[in-house]
Amino acid sequence: MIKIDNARVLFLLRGIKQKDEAAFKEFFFLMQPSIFYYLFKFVYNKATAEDLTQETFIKFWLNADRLDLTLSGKAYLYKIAHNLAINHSKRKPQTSAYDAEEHHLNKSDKTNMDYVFLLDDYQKAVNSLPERCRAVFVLCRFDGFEYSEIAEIMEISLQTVKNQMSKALAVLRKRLQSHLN
Amino acid sequence: MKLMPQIIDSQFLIKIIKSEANQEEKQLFENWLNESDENKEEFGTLVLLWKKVADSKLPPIPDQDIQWAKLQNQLAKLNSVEPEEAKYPPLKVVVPETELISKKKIGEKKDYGWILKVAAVFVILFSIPLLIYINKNSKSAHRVKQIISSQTESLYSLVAGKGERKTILLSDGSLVYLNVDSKLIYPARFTDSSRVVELIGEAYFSISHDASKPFKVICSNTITVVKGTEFNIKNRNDLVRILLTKGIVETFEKDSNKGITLKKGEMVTFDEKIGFSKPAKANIKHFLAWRKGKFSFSHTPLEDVMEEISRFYNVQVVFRNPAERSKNITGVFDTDSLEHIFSIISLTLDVKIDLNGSKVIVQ
Repeated sequence: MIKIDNARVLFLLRGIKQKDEAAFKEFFFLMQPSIFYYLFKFVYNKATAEDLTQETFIKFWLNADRLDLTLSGKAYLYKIAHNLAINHSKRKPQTSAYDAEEHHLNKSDKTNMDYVFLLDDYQKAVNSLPERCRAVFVLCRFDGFEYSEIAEIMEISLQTVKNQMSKALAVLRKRLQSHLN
Repeated sequence: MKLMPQIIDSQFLIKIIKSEANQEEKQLFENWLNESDENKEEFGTLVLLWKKVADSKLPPIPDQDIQWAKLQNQLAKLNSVEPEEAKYPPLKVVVPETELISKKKIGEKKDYGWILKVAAVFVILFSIPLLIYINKNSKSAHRVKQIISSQTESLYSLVAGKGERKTILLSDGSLVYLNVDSKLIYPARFTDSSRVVELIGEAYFSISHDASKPFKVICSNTITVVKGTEFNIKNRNDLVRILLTKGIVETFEKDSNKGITLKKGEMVTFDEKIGFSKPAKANIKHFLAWRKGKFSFSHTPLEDVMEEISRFYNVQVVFRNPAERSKNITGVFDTDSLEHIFSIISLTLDVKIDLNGSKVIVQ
């Protein structure tokens, strides 16, 4: 996970709201990796994740005047990314197993086969989660958001976040059982 | 004192794993954990799951400089196509700060957006790459300025000082990555017939394909002509090295018509006194290590190693014992820790390296 300094983010957001390009640039360099990985975990395609990342930042910049500085700006950015990901998967039905080519696991890496298998299974397990469930899990596990923030990003209730998270953990636990013992 | 019974659920346990729990919650957790083996198992599984999923390998992050340049292009495009929808003016094309050398009229802004659109298409469809390097304070600068300024456009220079690297997207969509302590002189816009820039130092070029407008890089006493390719040019200490990673380029000594053609993966060295070497296959990984933020040395004398380091970290190096200068280093180093590099070098060569502020003393 990429460590992000929230105070810095807030400072940059103030600049962005005032159309400060330098602030936007710094913000882009700071947040682009997280957003890219968030989207990647939805689309499992590098090129698509890249495009959606660009779209996210463009939408963010074009709507900068509407930025609410009390809301975590990070959450706002994720909100845009999340909506794009949802729309994308509506436009194009999800392919269940992602392209082997997109699967960047280094097949020649034979140092630890069990490890490689685990990664493989893990990615499949997360991919198998229903969309909402996966979003909750990824936001909590990889992007470090609290349940209340996740509720904000996804525009669902706190209770739904809790339920989805329990569901995600239960499914993952079941699917990855052999690796967890 | 407990005010309210805390429910032990996944949210609570995750808080514990993330070490975000307070003292009271930790105590509560301890008690819960000791209640039963089932609880221990449940928590153990959760911790394992939490840890293991993070080990998942992900693709590398897309190159941020390129993504940023593309983003700017897209914003510029939005602005020119649907002006009523774009709330803000497009970001400037030039990524880093630039210094205007000569003031002449820049083209109309309207044209600008159109060029960007075309440029964006070229970058995506036809980009090809190349690396060039040179060092000396350019005697040729004046001459080159004349050549470039005959294009009747403003000339800009982009300077990457010691310790900084910069990327620029030129008006034709070509990308140039400037290594530390280097300078690129370029016009605001290229003319109809050719694209000419001058380099002092080292840069990697990814040139947009345009057969009707050859791209020329002037570097010390060489001119490299490209139609669309990727290459690296490096000029340090009177040597110019041109390494081609894609496509074909032709390189000339100035005032000469006899060119040398480079093919993919080949490098040629130009020495002021001797002229061009024969092109030969080069180790691309080694010569382009700087693009990945690394130093790569291969039987490199410590003196040259220190020169690279002083450029990158902006430090001054003093050799107490001249004999140390010629000791050789081979290896690839990450650039994130100077101390680490020094500790490896001093162990390998059995020399003492002291870092004191921006002063480095080798003895």
